[in-house]
Amino acid sequence: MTSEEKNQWAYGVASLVVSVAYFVWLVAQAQDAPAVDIDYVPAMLWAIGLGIVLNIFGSIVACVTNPAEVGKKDQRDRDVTRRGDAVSFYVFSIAAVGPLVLAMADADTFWIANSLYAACALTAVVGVVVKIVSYRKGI
Amino acid sequence: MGKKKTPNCDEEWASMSRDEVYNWIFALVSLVSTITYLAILVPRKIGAPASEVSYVAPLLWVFGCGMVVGFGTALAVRLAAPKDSKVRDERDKEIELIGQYVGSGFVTIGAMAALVLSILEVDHFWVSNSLFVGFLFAAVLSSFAKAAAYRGEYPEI
Repeated sequence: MTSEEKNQWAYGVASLVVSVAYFVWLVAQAQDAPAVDIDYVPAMLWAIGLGIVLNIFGSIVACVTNPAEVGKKDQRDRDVTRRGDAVSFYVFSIAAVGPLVLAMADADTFWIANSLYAACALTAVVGVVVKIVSYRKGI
Repeated sequence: MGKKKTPNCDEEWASMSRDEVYNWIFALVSLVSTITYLAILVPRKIGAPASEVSYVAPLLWVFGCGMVVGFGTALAVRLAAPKDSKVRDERDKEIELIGQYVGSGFVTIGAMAALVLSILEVDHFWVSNSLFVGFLFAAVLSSFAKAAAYRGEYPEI
């Protein structure tokens, strides 16, 4: 496994774990109170911060376990990155239309902020899945 | 980062690849859409509180007209193009990547701004417009970056 592929695993696992934890928490909160009354902002900021920290930690683990490979990028890494980034761009552009429609419809900011966060999380996970599948099965 | 020289800068219109022609259509349509939208929106906003500016109808009209004109023209070009016109080659693919990098930057900036604004409970006018103007800027700047890449040197991504 190249160091770039390990970085992608770190990024993917960090994004998935944190966003799933956040949305599970959100759904649990929504059982007791109307969704728009949930104080979601601190939790979302924690989720974003924790996602970044976990990703950095994962990258460091990837570096430490195989120092010889660090920073080496071959043509395959570049091709996989290109393909994953292209898919991410289209996924995010389409997913960001949802929050735009909600904002135009004057929906509560709870829904706008959370749909934007969901769009980011979805894009991160889809991008990583595309890259890992490309590594495993070829382009 | 290596530089690649675009061969034969004196190409005639007829020898442009289809992707380059599509890109010019996209560039002009997105530029006209952006100017039109801002020309409608900015005078409405001046002197009025954000909550009273009606922006939804212009936004939908600009988006709808841009789509219809853009895809309509592209379809006309596709039908009018000679059968032996150049199809997509490696250079088209590399330039497509430049567009994606520029575009994703602006879409991301617009979306991050919208996330911060909605967390701060700012008026919906600002949330919608940071997203939509982010899309418009992404479209204009990515297509003009691609147009420039077709005509000159471009960095290898």
